[in-house]
Amino acid sequence: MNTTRRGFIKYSSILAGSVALSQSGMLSLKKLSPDEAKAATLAMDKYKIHYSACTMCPAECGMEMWVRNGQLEKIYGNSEVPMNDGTCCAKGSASQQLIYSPYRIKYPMKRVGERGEGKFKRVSWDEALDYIGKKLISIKKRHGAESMIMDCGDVTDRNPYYRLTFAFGSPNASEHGSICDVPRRHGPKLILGGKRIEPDLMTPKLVRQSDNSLKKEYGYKNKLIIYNGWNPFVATRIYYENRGTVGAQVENDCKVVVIDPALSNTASKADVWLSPRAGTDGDLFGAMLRYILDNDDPKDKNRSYIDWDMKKYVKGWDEFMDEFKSWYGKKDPINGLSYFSIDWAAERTGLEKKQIEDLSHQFGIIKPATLVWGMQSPGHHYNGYCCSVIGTVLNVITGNFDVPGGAIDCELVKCNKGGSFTGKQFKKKKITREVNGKEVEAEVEHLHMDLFGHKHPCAWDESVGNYPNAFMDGVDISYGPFRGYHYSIKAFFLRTGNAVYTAGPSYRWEDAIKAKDANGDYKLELMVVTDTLALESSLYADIILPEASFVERQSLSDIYPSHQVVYNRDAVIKPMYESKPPFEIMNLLAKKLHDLGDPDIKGEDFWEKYDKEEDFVDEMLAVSPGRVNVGRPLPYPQYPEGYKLYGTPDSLESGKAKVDDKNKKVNGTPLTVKWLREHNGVAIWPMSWYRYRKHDADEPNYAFPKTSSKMIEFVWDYEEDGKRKGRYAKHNKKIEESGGDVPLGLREIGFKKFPKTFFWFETKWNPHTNPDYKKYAKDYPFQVIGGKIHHSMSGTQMIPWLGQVKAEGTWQPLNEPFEAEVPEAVPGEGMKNMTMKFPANSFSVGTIMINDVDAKDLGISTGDLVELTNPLGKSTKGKIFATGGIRPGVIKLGFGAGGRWAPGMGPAYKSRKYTPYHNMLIDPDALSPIMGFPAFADMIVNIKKV
Amino acid sequence: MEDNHTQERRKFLQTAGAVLAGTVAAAGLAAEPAEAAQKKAPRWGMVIDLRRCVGCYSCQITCKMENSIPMVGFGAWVSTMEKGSYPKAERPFLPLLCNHCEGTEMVGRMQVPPCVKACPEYPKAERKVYLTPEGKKIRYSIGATYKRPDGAILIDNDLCIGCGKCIKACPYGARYFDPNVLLTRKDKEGKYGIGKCSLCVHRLDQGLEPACVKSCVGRSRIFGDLNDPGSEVSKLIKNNPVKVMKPDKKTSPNVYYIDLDDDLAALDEQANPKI
Amino acid sequence: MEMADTNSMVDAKPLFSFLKRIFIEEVDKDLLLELQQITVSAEDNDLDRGFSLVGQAARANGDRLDDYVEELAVEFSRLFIGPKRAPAIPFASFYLTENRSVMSDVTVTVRKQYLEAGLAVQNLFQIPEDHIGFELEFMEYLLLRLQELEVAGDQEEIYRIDKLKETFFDEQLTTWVPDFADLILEHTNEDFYRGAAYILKETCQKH
Repeated sequence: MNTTRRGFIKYSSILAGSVALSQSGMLSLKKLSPDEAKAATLAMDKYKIHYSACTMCPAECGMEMWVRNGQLEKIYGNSEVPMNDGTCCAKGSASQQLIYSPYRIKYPMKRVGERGEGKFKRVSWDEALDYIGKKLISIKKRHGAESMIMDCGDVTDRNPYYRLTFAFGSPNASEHGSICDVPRRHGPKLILGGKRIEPDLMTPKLVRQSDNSLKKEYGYKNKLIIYNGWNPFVATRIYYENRGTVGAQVENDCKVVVIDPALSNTASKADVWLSPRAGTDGDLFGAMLRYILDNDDPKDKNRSYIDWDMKKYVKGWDEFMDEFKSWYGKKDPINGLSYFSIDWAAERTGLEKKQIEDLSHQFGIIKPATLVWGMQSPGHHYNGYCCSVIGTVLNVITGNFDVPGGAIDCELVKCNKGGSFTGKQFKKKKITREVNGKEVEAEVEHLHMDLFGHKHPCAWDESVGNYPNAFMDGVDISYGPFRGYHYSIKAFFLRTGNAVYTAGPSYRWEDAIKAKDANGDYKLELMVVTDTLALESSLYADIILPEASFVERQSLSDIYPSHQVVYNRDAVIKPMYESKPPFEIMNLLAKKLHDLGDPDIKGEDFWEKYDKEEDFVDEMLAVSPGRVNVGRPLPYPQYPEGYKLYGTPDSLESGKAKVDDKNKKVNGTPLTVKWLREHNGVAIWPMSWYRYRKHDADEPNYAFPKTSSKMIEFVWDYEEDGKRKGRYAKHNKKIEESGGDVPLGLREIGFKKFPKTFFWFETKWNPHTNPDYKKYAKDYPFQVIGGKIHHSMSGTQMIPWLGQVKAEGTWQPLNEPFEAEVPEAVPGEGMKNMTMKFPANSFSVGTIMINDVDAKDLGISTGDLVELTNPLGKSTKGKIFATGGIRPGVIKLGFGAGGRWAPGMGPAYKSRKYTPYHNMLIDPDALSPIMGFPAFADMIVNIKKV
Repeated sequence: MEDNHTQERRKFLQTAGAVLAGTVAAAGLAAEPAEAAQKKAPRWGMVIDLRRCVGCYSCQITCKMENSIPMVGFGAWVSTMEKGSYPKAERPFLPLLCNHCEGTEMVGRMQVPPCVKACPEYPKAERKVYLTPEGKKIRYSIGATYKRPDGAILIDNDLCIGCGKCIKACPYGARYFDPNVLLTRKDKEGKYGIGKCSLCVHRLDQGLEPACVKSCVGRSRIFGDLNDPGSEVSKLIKNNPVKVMKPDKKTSPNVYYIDLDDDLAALDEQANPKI
Repeated sequence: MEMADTNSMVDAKPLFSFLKRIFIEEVDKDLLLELQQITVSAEDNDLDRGFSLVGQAARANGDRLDDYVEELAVEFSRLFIGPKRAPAIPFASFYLTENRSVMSDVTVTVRKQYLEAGLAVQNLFQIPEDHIGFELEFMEYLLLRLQELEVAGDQEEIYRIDKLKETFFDEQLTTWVPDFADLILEHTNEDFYRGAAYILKETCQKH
């Protein structure tokens, strides 16, 4: 008998004597009945196909997922969803490596060390919720419910968390939109009530034919697309712009112009690549508008730029143009030239005059055309608002808005969803607060930290970049009924976001989260992170809750379509480990708060009302599609024009939907999850164009777009029929009612109120356009731009497969050698776990893209480690990638692709010392004046070889 | 309204849907109606229209997902380069895969590419039957690496001895030793089996296009029957200047490129390790 | 493994019961109190080394057991769960698949083996079946079943279950558990888990 055998017997007999040591019973397995075992055996090895959606990125494409033995095995695009029309990108295909990553957050965890130290222990859900619940109730008693912030990170599936927050009594809930591209969306929001203008490229489109039938139409009508600072091929988000852009080029001879300091992949496919200085997008748009206004001649076919007929659909055309033209007479202090002139723009953008003239002329003359601006440019500049306003106006006045092959605001035309489930009604609850010694009664919503706060009272998307300041200093309510009230922020919930890393420089966040009061207690009393992966922010949490991954929870997707399309994101596998879907977390925390005595949380609003995920998704669908019957061809000629449509596509198509003339509604059979599951997961209603016109007359239909006048508005604070109208009107009213107390943001740019029409101000940290920064030009000769790398976003760059791709100059195989455990087959022994060496330059990491001539001048070449330092004294290190594909004097870094200090990031963590952290360089105090958005793309640096 | 490309794709998908629903036997792809009478095997081929390639690497990852390719191997990969100086810089892309070459050399009565020619375990005495989409049976020889009558170059690791000759013979670097496939033959020379692009024959035989074609984000990959003059691939080849990789190697590839960048092609970037 | 050896492995059931308890969840006070009783006279092999370490650890912290339970819970999370990159992932797939993912074919193979014995995990499809604790529990169950069958004298079923046990032990436990145990040894200074790792490694060694 060998020694091991002897040991087995010896220790087994010792252990057998103890109940605690050897008789814990079945802890994880269970016995099946013979029938159960048979059924389970029969189901083995068979594929089941589920229609779902992807949320590996915000494009949320429709997916077809093949599941076998409870395991997600194959992932393809769903051919019935026009967002992706059956295709699937690299990241979607790599989903399994995230879902089945061993580094997922598996159990609720409780912090045992200091914040940021990363020491945790596993606790039960009940223990975690109990801890959160008791803290919340105590905070609410001492500071009011409003001292809790819910930051949902992802827009996707935010609703359960919002509902709980509002019911608890706080109006402060936000999502990642607030740190994404706020200035980019501003122009369309002011002018159209929308968000994003995109080319008419989604195919197929379901269109009403002259014989009344519906047909899926393929093909493209576009003739010119201008992408300014927009890189759909890499920062892929409006997914159909991939196949659509190249499809329109090949099939319809469409010209594509990309304006970007760096040769993006999109630029690499463009007919023309223009590379201006960073942060001069608005300058270029301004010059285009002036050129078109100055040179338009309706009688000359070659100069007939403006569609003067559009004036019929626009409110405030003359006011806008007068204000714009009033700048012609002013001289720009930085160059002494007349604003928006070609000379002025050439001086500021660094482009040649002819390039600007050609661009302006072509955009004026080629139709249909679309002018698109992206996240990476106006979206991330302090003054990006000006650019997005002019861009929207340019699309409108040239007659390209909502025409076939033209410019579609996808926010205006997407399917409505959410309804009462979003919990907005809870914000109408009356509460009292003592303000300056007086009891004041008003609705919860008037305590919103941004909309009634002293900094950015117009921040309808919230100012997450300002949260660290709020953790430190609290919130001053300067507007509305609670004017003069001050409260502290004491609880911060962060869900599937990574604010500490992404929402501004991390040091500002770390300081605020770790700040302690005189007693040595954290000022921010509670921080909860709910996520699937353990990213940087989770290291600071008091409690971490495991959220189900996107294939383990159910909801809806309908991002950025050209017309109403909504699809079911079905849960295709069970939540792994102890992770739970958002709706269950909502119910559990609601129940806990209720049981602990919170009077605001009621069973009838939560766990009694929503038993399973389908219950709330059905409620969200009850308001779908919720858009008006407008445009050409009229989507439903059988129903009155301008009426709001509700119900499944087939019930509306049947003509039997009920017409409610009183409320101008057409009510078909409400859409449900069941209906979607029976129809390849997707509901599609017909497309139309010219949705702002009557279908049979060239007049406004007053049903579209989503502005107060239901016309296109070039003015944002005006009076009509004794009513104050326009997007800024209510915000200016707040200022007036406060006696003219100017918000901090507006004070920064010398405004007293939100502007009535066209406005202009300069961006920050740009020595080429803003005289305040000219003095830095010599010592900090490089402008820094950033961009999303689709393959390596904040969470997903831990996926090994994606380390084997390259993206532009910012995600390149420039790793230093590292070791990772990889299994290898050993003959006779089967698979054996071995340590595999990844040699240098075999795995992609975040890099710094720099012009090759600049690099040569600095004596550096690809692969060299450099340090970037900004005028604030902050620096980050990274390796350079030298290429001809970027404008001299500009460098580009990937967002979220470097300096990762969360160990759960795997290879990205291993490369943290030589990969650049973009946010380290940005100015933490540069929050853009209107909406409080971090100026991610306004910075200059110098470069030193390390 | 619909261009041919789209029509072809949609037909593909309809066939696919039918098979998945279990109503059609797994007999193969539907042929063009006008050509339904054809009797011979299809010759599968691919056109990669680089005007439409957006450089997304979806093919590379989709292939890994679909075929459980190991980290060290690639069934599909993408080559790219930084070309030219500012402001005339360019960044071309080149998706690559096994060319499923017709070959120009003969083994017995079979015309085969270099990899099959190099295989010491081809042909074996055993023959298999290929079923055309019309149900016609065609017998063919198998080996450790072999050519199916529809043109797919396949491997059978049960017959493989791991000598690596096919890896060396392939001018395109399309083959690799798969560390997760252990050879079983007693007289094997090496440990590991061979991995390569299988043209997703497991999907083709279900009436589905290869996974890289299905996922292709820019719709750059077009797949079909080169024997059918009405197929989209045949029409694209007829109506556009096309090139193949390394024509000097006289392998007669079945993968064609529109708008190929010659400098990038000359780089010959191979993702699979050289042996 | 010889058949005679296999049969006698039935004696090792308490060892698997013990290990499964240690690796499925955090330890409690009762368990530590019992472990205090274990003393080892001579350290001839990893089993001796292991039991010596866990016994000593339990005794050395005898006057602060509550704190010690808490410390062990933190270490359990750090080693096996996260949220930082856990150094010893407790799933077979991680060691046996190319991309170190969980829920791989390995998981499905294990699921089939559980089914062959008429078992399934309590929360199907949530925690992958190839978790160290589940696999040890499965082994425990098979050994228990063999004991029962021997009493009943069902030779055919004994043969079947024994073969299943043999396959499972050879193709699962011995292929990855020693590597897992090595990772624990490499990454912890906590004697209790070092001891547990030694015991685990020796128990799941190819014989």
